[in-house]
Amino acid sequence: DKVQDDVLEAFERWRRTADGEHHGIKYRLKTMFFSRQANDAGPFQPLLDLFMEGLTTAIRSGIPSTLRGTVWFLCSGGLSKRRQSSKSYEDLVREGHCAKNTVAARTIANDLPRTGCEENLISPLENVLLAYAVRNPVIGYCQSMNFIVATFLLYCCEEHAFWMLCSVIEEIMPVGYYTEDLRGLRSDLHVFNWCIEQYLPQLYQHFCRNAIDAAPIFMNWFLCLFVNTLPPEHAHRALDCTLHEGHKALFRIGLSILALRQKELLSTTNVVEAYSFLRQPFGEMQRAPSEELNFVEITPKQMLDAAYGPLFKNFRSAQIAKIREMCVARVQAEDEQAAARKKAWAAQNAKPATEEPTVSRHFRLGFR
Amino acid sequence: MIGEEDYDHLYKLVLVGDATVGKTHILSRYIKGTLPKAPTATIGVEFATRTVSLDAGCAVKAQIWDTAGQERYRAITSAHYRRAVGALLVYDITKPATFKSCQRWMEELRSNAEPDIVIMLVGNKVDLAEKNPGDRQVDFDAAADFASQQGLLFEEASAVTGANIKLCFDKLLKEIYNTTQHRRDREDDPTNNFQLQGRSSQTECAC
Repeated sequence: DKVQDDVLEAFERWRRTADGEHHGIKYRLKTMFFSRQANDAGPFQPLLDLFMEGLTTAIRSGIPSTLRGTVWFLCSGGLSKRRQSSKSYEDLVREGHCAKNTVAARTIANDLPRTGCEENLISPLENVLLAYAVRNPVIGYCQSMNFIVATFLLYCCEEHAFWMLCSVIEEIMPVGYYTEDLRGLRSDLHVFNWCIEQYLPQLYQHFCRNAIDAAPIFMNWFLCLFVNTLPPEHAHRALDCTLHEGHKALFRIGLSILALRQKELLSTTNVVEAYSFLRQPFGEMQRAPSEELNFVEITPKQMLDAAYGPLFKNFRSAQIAKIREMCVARVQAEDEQAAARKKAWAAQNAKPATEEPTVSRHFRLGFR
Repeated sequence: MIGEEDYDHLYKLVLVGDATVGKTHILSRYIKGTLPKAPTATIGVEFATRTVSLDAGCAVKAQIWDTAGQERYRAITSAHYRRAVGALLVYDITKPATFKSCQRWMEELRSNAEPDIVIMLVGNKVDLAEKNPGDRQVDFDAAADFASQQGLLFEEASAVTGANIKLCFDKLLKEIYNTTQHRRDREDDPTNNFQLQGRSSQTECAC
């Protein structure tokens, strides 16, 4: 329709200034956006590849904020999600508001005022989260979705934000990121650790020597796609890349943060210092500035230049995928060990349980 | 006032309990004396330290880990209970479900942290019950009974008014000091070594 055409044209103008001239791009742009099976373009595949490369460079240079909502919606695959769905967003919202007694709905209600968004965004945020809990009851609601959706809502309408959330959880991020056992996320934390060892060996050694295990902080980075960690402009630029390129962008951005803050991190000697630094590596979001940490300011451009610069030049998705496979197996082994440990603990403490039957019932519930 | 780095013992404490019982508020009240300006849900862990002097005349540094409440995060955060010597197990006195969960949290703590971890049960949000007695859903006596059955310390508190917050931490730290001191004395005593070894091999056989 007319509006979409206008936006595409504006988008195309931006892309050209960001990336030099490309003629006849509009048609291909449409092809890509409206049939996102980009891997199956037959004879047009080379052209499409070329176009994608240009688009990627353009997106890394930063999407103008007036276009951000539209580009996010298209690039993330949100549009495809809407087309594939048999249910409309309105129906899902309606169903979501009917299912107010679920664990997910109660957790959402608790988190709405703790998301830190403007008053007028609370109701759209609630609609999107409730609708998602209905669409995907296995995942329901995972804390962190609230921060992601609140960020989408800064640029997109409520419905677009919803389909983008669907795409983030179901397409962009690997399986097991927001699920009950968080296996996908935990695997990625191992992968990220491997990346640190590979690309920032000095920092890796430092973390090992001082027993600094930053997994609980990195988990926040990855789950919230950095919106909860970086200042807004940095976070939104990082999201530009993640929504377009997929979840591997998270590794690059994570590594670039560590690389840019390596000097400061090497001077931390314990977990507490490292944590307070990693929690807000580029400065404060809401808290009062901490006097001990003197930040050198890092611009969003510096962050992205580092992420896609020479330091991580040989960062290959194929290799990451291979490492990831190993990490998935490791997480599975960890889970089995933990289950065995809990079983042993249960056996050890079996006696008081027989005297008081409720204990053993609770116990089994707790460690199913 | 004692210096941050001037301490005799470092104790790792964890703050656990269901989402929205007020863990982060309690921590903020204890560390900064104020409530968080813009409350946000905790993802992963947050962190703080405070050094306090005990009546016994020594200074202890409490390293406090504030954990995420949502159940699915336990898969990651429970690894960080390890080496914790104390815990504040928090529930909301206006929400019975958060009190019921305490049983599970306790088992989670005891199976993951140090075996003789000292646990302080805290019924938070008493300010709500003071304002409107009908809001109270968990009896003081029921919680106190549960605590004494399970060998937990117990207080009711309010992060909003600040009531009893410092007391909770003080009592917990003092008890940890006593427990670890007791253990240290026992380990120092050569006649006890045999007995200790015997006991530990027994626990291994129990499974």
